[in-house]
Amino acid sequence: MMDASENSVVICGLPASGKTTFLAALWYIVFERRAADARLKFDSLKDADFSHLNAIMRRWQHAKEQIHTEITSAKIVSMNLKDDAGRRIRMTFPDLSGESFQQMWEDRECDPNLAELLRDGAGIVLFVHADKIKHPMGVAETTRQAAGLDGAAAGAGATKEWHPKDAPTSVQLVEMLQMMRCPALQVRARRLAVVLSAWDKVMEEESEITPDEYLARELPLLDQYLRNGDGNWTVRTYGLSAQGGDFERDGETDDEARNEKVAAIRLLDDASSRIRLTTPEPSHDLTEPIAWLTE
Amino acid sequence: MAETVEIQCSNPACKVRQDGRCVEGLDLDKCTHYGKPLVAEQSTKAAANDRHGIVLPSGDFLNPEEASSILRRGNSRVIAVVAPKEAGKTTLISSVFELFLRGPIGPLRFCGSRTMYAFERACHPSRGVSRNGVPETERTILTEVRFYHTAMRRPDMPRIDLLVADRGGEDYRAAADDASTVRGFVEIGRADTITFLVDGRQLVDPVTRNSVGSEILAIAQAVIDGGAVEGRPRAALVLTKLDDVRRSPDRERAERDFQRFDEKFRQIHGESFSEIRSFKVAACPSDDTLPLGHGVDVLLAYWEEASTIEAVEPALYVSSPTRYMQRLQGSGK
Repeated sequence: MMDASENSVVICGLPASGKTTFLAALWYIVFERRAADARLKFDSLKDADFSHLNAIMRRWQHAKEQIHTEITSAKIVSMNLKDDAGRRIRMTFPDLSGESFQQMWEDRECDPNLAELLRDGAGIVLFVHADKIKHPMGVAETTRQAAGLDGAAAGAGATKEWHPKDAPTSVQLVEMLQMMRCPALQVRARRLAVVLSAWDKVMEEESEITPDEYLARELPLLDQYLRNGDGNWTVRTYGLSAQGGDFERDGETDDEARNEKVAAIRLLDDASSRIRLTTPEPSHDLTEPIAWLTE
Repeated sequence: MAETVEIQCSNPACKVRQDGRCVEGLDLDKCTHYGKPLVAEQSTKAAANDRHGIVLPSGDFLNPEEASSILRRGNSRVIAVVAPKEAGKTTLISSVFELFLRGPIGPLRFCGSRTMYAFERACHPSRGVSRNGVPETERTILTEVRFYHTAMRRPDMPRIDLLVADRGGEDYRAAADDASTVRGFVEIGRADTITFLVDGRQLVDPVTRNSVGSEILAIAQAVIDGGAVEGRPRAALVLTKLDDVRRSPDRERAERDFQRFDEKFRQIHGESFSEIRSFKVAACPSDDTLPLGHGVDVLLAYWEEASTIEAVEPALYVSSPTRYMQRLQGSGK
């Protein structure tokens, strides 16, 4: 039996927001002891099944995109870690499908197992793919953009019925956080780490912008809710580049431009240099958000 | 004879039979699903029937009882929006949410909403994703009043719960024919601000320009004479679809008509309201004539102001929804 304290952090986010990639990179940093100054360090391989972590880490090392996490193949993974004081911590992370969270918005219900994980979590990590934010766009704006592109008028063709999946990213995320505070869930976690993944794509365009500034500009509804809402969230915002660029996609090998980028990543001597966490100070320590959520 | 080994996996999401790869990225000898018979996938309908998820708040608009639970918190404003159908009620109400999606509205910050699902549905016809050529108004087909909720606050100030009532325009139009129907209009009796809409598109239409103002005046007369207006709430007179007005060659005449309507309203109904102010808005312009939500920020600031509604004797007849609304306010106002 372990004499470690048990802790769990729930990693949330809509589909394809970088949750599994983060876990893969985190396990690499921890297991390969790649960050000497990491706040949490590897302790042991005792009392847990590491097959899923090892599998996703291998794909990350090979610079291959993670396989989409199906709802049916969700996993709960654990890591035995220790902090600078030698305190041993068993961290548990559910590697959940983004659809599980999307269901909360679209179907207005939560899987009981997910509800239990959410209630037990000491902290929440909310992943947002910084390069795939769905913004609200009015008809006039759409028409203007369409005219600018090819002179075509918007609105051509059949009109489209409303579906909740069309909702902007910030609406779905705010509702997810509001639901965590509703009587049916009563999530006890107070700390929330908002992780903007694919941060390297942002930095290519704007090297000076901070994660907080980006959140306020690109997801203003979420930013206002986090700063002014009554969810009582204590928030830190991070920018995360966990891949360092484009990875190989299964079954897609004829994209020369992508292949060159993938090759460049594989040529790096130290795979950990792919990782960059902006706190806003640059860091390679992926354990920082986890350590903060559970301190 | 050699035995043929069939490739199978119990995970319905795995395509190892086709591509030889584990969907979870595991070596086949490590996968706990591999080699086991497929777990039959249920049909979508059967799966839906078998769902036993934890039911979460619907996010849809609120009935009077649900609205009352929010009002019990204290710092709230109830806004009634009065207009015949297609005057832009739902577009105006949802434009507040649409603007918060783009950032704070002046000094006001978004704190949350119990009706985000309803707001999203209401915003859809005005969004590009609807593939509408011009912004449409969601037809409000309601048999009774419903409320949209937004919580907001100024920096370092307490939050305010804003409840904006939406009712089918036919109800208000019918009130002009039979004022007794307004006794069930709970939103009017409780409103801090009653907002009357004048349809700008109808104001520039030669056929309707002479009737649009008089129709609103008649509805206002009905809600006052029918006893729905209690105390002396504030009134907002709002010219909607200002972008239609500005594009029209008759825009100056239309704005003069609105000015005349404003003067006549104050002359006829001024005594019934503690304050009357007029506004011009383009909640969802169909082109770049005006920015999205033009004028809505000024109207929202007016809605946000606390009213000082005067106490009145309780009415003899009190409908059930009215009792709900009054109970939360402490037996009427």
